[in-house]
Amino acid sequence: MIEELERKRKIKKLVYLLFASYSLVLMFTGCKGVPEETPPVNDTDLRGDENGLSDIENQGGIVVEVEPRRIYINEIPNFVRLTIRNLSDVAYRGGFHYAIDYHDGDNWIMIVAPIVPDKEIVIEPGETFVLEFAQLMPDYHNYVAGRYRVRFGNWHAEFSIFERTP
Amino acid sequence: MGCILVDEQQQVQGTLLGTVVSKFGYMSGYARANVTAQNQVVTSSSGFEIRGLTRATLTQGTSQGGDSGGPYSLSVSGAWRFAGVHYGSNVASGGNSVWFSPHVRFSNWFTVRTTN
Repeated sequence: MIEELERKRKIKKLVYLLFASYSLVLMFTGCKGVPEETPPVNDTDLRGDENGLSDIENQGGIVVEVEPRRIYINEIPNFVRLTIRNLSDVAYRGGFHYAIDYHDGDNWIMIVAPIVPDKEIVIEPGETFVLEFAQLMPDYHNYVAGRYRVRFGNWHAEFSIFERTP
Repeated sequence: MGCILVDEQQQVQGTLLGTVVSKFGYMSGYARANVTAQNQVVTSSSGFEIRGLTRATLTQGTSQGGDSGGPYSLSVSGAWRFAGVHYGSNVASGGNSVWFSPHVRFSNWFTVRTTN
């Protein structure tokens, strides 16, 4: 009988301790009872700067690739293929404007700024956006041999134009 | 600037060359631009040619992804008239031009009705 009373007393004590602990948890979590989740990042946060580009470099960044990377001057195509990979943890939201820059030995100089539809694209983390028809506009610009790059916002991919060897 | 033609729906039908148009974009809000060229041919991101666009140079505001489909309007005799639909730009890549489909190019197919 005494053992039974002792066991009940211990159970009561345990219940009291559990209740007190739970009350303390509620007090320090704002009475929500569960840990507060990190609020989702809204579109505005992901949209980034005035160019419509997100500042997601710190999250792993964007990788841009261009094909072909070697072009002969007498075979300059109208289009190159631009692949944009999102290696960050946040979605990219913005336009897909790009420009062609030429390196004059000291600086990168923009030579072509093609017209791009002002559609908004979303590239989810780990996903890829392919622009099959990025324009070089050789009828508009007189290309010479040298270093070039396709610039997509803060990111870019280089390609070279070579003199045709006989 | 020549005479601006307005149809029975009070929408601009005539040439826009030399006029100042107002652009509204979902992402970038209001902007203003001077119309500098008509009957422009541009290559789409799919490689196709799009004809009949009008080009304007931005004088105020900007343009960015998400603005496509936004309206252009023109002030005629103190009233704003619908003038076209936004296509694209080269602003984000360093230019200052915008391109839109002028209303005259599609007024035979459909029109736009707005209310206050």
